[in-house]
Amino acid sequence: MKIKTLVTWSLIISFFQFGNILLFGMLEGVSFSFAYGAFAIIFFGTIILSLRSRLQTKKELILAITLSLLMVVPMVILADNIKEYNDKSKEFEQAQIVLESEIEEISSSNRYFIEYITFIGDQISVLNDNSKSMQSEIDRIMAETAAIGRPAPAATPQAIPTTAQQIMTIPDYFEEDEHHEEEEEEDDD
Amino acid sequence: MIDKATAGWGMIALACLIPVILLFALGPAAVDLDRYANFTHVLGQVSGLIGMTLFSITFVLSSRIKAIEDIFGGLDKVYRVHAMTGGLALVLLLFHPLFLVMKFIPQDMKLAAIYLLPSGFWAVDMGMIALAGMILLLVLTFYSRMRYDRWKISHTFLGLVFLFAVLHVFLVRGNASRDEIFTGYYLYASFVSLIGAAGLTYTLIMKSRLVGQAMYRIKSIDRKEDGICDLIITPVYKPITFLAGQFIFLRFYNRQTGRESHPFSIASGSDSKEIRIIIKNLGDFTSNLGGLKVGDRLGVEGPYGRFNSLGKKEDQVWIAAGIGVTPFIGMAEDVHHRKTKGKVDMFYTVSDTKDLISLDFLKKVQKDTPNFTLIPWVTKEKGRLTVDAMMRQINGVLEKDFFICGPDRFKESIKEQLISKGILKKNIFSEEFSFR
Repeated sequence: MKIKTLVTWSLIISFFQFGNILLFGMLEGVSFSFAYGAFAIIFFGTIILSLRSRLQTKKELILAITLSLLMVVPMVILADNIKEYNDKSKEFEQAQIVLESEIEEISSSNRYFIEYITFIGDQISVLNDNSKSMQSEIDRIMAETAAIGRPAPAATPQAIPTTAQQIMTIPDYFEEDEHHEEEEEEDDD
Repeated sequence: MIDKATAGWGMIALACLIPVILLFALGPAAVDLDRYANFTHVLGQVSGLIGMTLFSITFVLSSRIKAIEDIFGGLDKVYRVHAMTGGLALVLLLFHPLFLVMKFIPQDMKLAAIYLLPSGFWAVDMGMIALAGMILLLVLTFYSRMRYDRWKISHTFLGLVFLFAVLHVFLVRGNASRDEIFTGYYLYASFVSLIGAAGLTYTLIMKSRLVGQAMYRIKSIDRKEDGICDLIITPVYKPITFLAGQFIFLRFYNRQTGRESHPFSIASGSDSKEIRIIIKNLGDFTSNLGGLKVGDRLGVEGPYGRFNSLGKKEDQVWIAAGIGVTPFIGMAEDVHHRKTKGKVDMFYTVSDTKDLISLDFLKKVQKDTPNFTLIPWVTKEKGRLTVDAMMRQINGVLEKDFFICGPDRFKESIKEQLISKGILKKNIFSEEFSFR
C-alpha cells in the first residue's frame, strides 16, 4: 500500500470519527459552535480529500463516504453494548461488595460463635476437673472413715451436717456445760 | 546478510519500539489491559509515542546528511523514507486523541467531545494546535499541486508544529493526564526533542554554513520548442566531483526563478568540468526558467544519488521514458569515453518522435561503441513499451542489471513486469524524481 493511500484513508476515517464524536457530543449538549466545527471538518475534509487524493472517480468517492458513514452505526452499537456491559459490570461490582460485606458479617458472627463454643468447652472441662477432684476427695474421706471403724457417713449431702444444723445443736451443748459447772461448784463446797 | 536500507528501517523501528517497551516495563499501562478503558488509553499512548518518535526522525531524514544517504542507497530513497515516516507519523498522531477519548464514549459522549475541543489545558491545547498544523501542512504536501518553492516554505512550518508537539509532550504528563506514563519519560521526551531539533537546526541553519555550495555560472542556454531548456553550466571557482547519473540541487540567483534550490539530474559524463542540465517545463517552477540568461550565477549543492553504473554488472539494460533520459545521457558519455566492456542496451521511450532528446548524441555513441545499442521506442508508432517487447530484442536478461528512469507509474509498471519475469529486485535500479 502506498503511503499516500494510507494517509488518505486514515484522514477520512479519523475525520469522520472526530465528526461522529463531536456530533454525538452536540446531541448530548455540546454547544452549537463546536457542532459547526464538526460539520466543517467532515464537509471540507471529505471534499478536499476526494478532490486531491486518488479517490477521484465517483464510485470511489461514494465508497469512501458510505464506508465512513457506516462507521457511525457500529460505533453507536458498540457504545451501547459497552455501556450496557459497563452498567452490568457496575451492578455486579456493587452486588459483589454487598456479598463481600455479608460474608464478612457472617464470618465475624461465626468467629464469635466459635469463640463462645470454645468458652463453653473450657467451662465444661473446668467442671469436669472439679467433679473429678471432688470425687477423689469423697473417696479419700470414705477411706479414712472406714479406717477408724465407724460407719462411713452416707456419701450424700444430707449425711453431712450443714452449718445451719450445727448451729442448731449448739444450745444443747451449752446446756450440758452448765450441768458440769454446777457439779464442780458442789465439789468445792 | 542484511542490507543497509533494511538496517536503516530496523533502526527506525527500534527507536519507535523503545518508548513502547518502557511504557509496558516501567509504566502502569500494562495492568488490566483486558478492561476496555485501559486498553484504549494504552492504545492512545502507544500511538502518540510512536507517532512523535517518527515525527522527530523525519527532520533528520530531510537533512541530506551523506551518512543517511549511504544507509538508504541514495537521497531519493531517503526522501521516500522521509515521506513514509512523515505519513505514518500523521496517521498515528491522528488516532492518538481518538483512542484516548474512546474510553469516555460508553459513559459519556459529551465528555468525549469536550476532550477533543480546546479546553484551557495548555498541555492538551498545544497538542491540538500541533495536530491541526500537521494535518494542514501534510495535506498540502500529499494533495496540493502548489508551486515547489511555495510548498517548500510551507513545509518549513512543520518545525513550528514540532515545537508545539514537543511542548505538549513535556507538559502533558503533569498538567493533563495526571498519571505516570513511565519512569524515564522525560528522558525519552528530551531525546525525541533533541533528535528533531538537531535535524531541523542543521537543515535550516547549519547546513548552508557547513556544506556550502559550489558557485557556477550559465555558459549556454538552448531553448527548444517543446519546452525543453538545455543548460551548460561552468564553475566560477572549483568544480564539484560527481558520477554520471547523479543529481544536484541548483539555486538560481535570478529574481524570476526565486532562490529556492531544486533537484536536477546531471546529463554529463563523470567528473566533467562543465555540467549539462536538461530541464522540461512541467508547469511549476520550471515554467519560470524563461528569465534565465547566459552569465547568471547559480549555486550547486551535491552531488547526491546512487544511480550510476559503477560497481554493477557489466551487461546492463537502460530504460528511459521522456525527460527520464537525462541521467542516461551522462552514463552514455561515460560508455563512449571509457569504452567499457559490458553490453549496454538502452530503450528510450517517448510518445512522439519530436520528444526524443539528444538523439544525435546517443546515435553517435552507438556508432562509435559496438557494445552500446540504442532502441528508440515511440509509443505512437509501436504502442506501450513492455518487458515482453524488450525481451524480444535482448538475450540473457537474468544476467543483466536494469536501470529505469521516468514517470512513477512507468517505473512501477516496468519493475513489476521485470520481477514477474524472474529478475531479482536487487538487480533493478531506479531514480525517484519527486521529492515532495
